[in-house]
Amino acid sequence: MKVWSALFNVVALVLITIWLSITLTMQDRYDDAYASIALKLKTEYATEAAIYTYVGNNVFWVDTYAAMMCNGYRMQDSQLNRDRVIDSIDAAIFVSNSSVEALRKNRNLNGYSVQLIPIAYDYSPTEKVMMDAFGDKVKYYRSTDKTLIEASNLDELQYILCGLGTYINVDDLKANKRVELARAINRALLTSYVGMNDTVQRTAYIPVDKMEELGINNVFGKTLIIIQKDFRKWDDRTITTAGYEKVEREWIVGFIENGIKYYCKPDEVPAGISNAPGNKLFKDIYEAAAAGYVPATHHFK
Amino acid sequence: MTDFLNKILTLILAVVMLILGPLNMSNMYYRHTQKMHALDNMRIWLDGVADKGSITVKDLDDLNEKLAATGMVIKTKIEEFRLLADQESVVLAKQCNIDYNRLRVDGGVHIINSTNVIRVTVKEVAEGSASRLWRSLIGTVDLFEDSLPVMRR
Repeated sequence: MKVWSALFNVVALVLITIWLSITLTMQDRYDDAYASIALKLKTEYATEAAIYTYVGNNVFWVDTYAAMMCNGYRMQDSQLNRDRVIDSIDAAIFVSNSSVEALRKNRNLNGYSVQLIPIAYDYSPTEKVMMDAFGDKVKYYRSTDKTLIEASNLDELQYILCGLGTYINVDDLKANKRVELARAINRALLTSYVGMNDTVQRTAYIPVDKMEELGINNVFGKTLIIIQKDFRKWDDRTITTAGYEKVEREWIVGFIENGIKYYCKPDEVPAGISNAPGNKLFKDIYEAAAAGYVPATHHFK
Repeated sequence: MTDFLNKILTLILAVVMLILGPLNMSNMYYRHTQKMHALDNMRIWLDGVADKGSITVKDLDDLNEKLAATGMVIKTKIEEFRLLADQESVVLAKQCNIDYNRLRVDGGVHIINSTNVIRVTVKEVAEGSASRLWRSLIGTVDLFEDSLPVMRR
């Protein structure tokens, strides 16, 4: 009888322990889910502000980003906290050395280690096209006869394949490049989490002024991708990505011609007046009109 | 003595498994949903304000109504920051709080200048008895508090 009692007690304690464990795990999951979405929103807004205020100085946008994140988390805007924000980005994108396809390049730009991820696109069950995420170089691999072709861009690859009697739809691949990039980043993040530790060199972020040099402008326009780890709790698994495509604002130029205030688009401003000292820039025609400028219809194209 | 201990354990087990367990799960899910709704409403409101570039009394009413609809008792604070930059660094300096009094002074419409930042902070100021129980027992529920800043577009 005593044996049964003891057994019952043990089972009861185990069940209570399991219940407590499930409860705390569930709570962690809910907290993680919320923190992840909140972090993504804050990252997006901070990224947007950073790009918007970008004026050609690399420090400037990083600083704006860090200031926005400190503001969003109601942290004191100190250098220490700004460093924590930047560190969290450094920690977020890390790809383990064991990953086969994750890293192809490892560059150093402005002191930041930038690692670029190739895109592997399964064109068909037996054909794979590997594209440079930020450049034009492509590789084609066919598993049936182990054909490997390298080309400087997709059009050239199509030309070479046509010569071999194979056709691939380049337009589809170009259109899918962006989607595949997002998937590649996600794959890299999933791979990275398993072996994440502090000792390995981690990818930072891509300085926005180097994007055209990297060829990213051909794909995205001016885009800043920030992948951020929750910096409040270093044990936290919360990792998020945020991308922002900068839409070039089309300024309205205000100028004075024959004593009359006119406004028009920058490329419509007549020669000789385009850089005149009294010219003004307006965000839109309403702002120009409010300042007393009228449309320069005689210069409209 | 053993019988007595067994009875107590059985009682605890029954209460935990049949009453506390489901109640706790339900409460956690409910709290999570409330928080997500509050965050979503903050985002929608901020996007609208950042695009529009101004805040009116109707905007404040909208935000308060949406947050109240989440079921939480929430205190809202809206602040405006000015982006100050020089060659060295960038800082966000607080300019003002935006509330009904401020809007009265501004003639009903508060204009947000370009590159100024609007931050909404929400703080739960009261909690239900169930939440209080869980918080005191195992600390699974906290009072909701978060903020979102967005720059004028």
